[in-house]
Amino acid sequence: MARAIDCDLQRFKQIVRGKVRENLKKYITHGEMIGRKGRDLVSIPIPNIEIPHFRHGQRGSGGVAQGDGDIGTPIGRGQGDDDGAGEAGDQPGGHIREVEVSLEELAAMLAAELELPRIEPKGKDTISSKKDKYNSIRRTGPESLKHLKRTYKRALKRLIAADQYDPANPIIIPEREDRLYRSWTTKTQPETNAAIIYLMDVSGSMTDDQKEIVRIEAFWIDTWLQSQYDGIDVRYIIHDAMAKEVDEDTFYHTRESGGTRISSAYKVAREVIARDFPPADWNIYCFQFSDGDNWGEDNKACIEILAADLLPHCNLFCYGQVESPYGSGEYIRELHRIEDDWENLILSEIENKEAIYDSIKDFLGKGK
Amino acid sequence: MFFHDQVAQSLNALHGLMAPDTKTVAWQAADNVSVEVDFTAVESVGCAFRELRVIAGALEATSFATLQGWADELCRRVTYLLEQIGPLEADREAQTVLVRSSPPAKDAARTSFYEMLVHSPGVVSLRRYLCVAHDPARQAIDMQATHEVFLRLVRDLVEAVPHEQTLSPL
Repeated sequence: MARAIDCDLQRFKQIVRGKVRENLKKYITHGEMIGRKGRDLVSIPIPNIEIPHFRHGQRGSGGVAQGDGDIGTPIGRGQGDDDGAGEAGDQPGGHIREVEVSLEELAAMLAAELELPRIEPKGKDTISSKKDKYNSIRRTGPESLKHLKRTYKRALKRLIAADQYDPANPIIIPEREDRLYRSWTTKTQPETNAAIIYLMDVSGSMTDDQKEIVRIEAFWIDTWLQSQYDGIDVRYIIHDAMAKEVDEDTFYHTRESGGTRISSAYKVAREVIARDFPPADWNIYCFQFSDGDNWGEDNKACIEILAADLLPHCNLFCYGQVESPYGSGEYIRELHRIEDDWENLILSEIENKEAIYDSIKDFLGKGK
Repeated sequence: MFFHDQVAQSLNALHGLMAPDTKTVAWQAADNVSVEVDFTAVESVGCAFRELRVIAGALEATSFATLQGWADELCRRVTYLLEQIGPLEADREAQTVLVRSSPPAKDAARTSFYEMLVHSPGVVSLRRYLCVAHDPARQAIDMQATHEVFLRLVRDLVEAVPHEQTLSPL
């Protein structure tokens, strides 16, 4: 039977999760959680009223006394304890309580909130991987795998059987035939693997605000896809007029001043797929973010590479056009022209942080 | 006749122009520099034009560093338009420097800005664009200026043309 405190704890957890769910849209669009991401848990600040508690005064500020005292004698006023000029507040308390939610749970909340369907892995949906499990014992093996407990037990049995065991002098020296070693069996496990390739325009026209939008959206996409696949391999590509593969930190913090040639990023993405992710075995997701201010003559090359080398191999190719200070770029118009030919091409315009919510739904709502 | 007077005289001659498309007028300045303007309207106080180009024949094979220096000089001189302009992107491969209003002019649903491309072979083009919210297609719009501002703009664009001898390394 569950203890009362366990029931209370469960109830408390339900309330906290309810609060998180209520405000999920706010958390999604303002990126509060990203900096708080630990290994598997995310700390989320939720509004809370502090429970009253005792506070001790300063040492030496007065002792315990007894007696009647005189009328008007102040009791327990410390230094600097004069009346202030401030007025009472009329707002609820703003204390913050941080709760830890697992990424898995967060993904589930996100799915419920955005009504995301579960992802259906593509055709040859599984690849096999071999895993070793130490679950048996052998008479031979390397010394590093010697099972001491079993070895000594076996030696003890041998001594008792041979009537050589003396309880008054319990010395057990294992002999060669007593030695037992841990051993393993190799199991073939099916795995569904996914690769995410992020492509971001870091040309001079992409501001820090736009990159923040990309960062927030990428976090949520990651969270969702991690919940759907066993292994996620993430690659980052940045480009201005030239493109290169970079690490996560560089991806989010680089700002270049070059022109915008989206085709350069597509070429690098094509190389990465060919080199690391055979399309037959991998579920490949490409998420591209740009302000769409591509240099005019480059659009044709982009569409050619996209149609020939990227779209046929990707579960999803998502293009998010973040709005630059100069308005929306024209690249999305080029993509709209081929949108009907490719079911896995998803386009989304992200005007500001508020639009991230709908953009995630656009990208992941297909269950691909 | 000085170049400035030549342009002023052309403006007077074009008085009353209302071109349904554009009317291109070209002038030749010193040092093989020419100026072309696509006018849409000219009247007594001011004029409207769609694009202004400066072609420096002597800079056909100029270096990318010279183009960047040229763009910087233009930003330093041209400070009297509706918005300040500044270099935004520099594409070495395309030998082009992109200069735009910084920041652009915005109202509720419209964004407008100047865009100046400084590119090889020694050409500067100035346009103004309008972007309407939710419409990815930007459109070139007319720039309007009084005759005085227009003359100053043309003079500054011509005077900003770099002289290879002074900019190239010794």
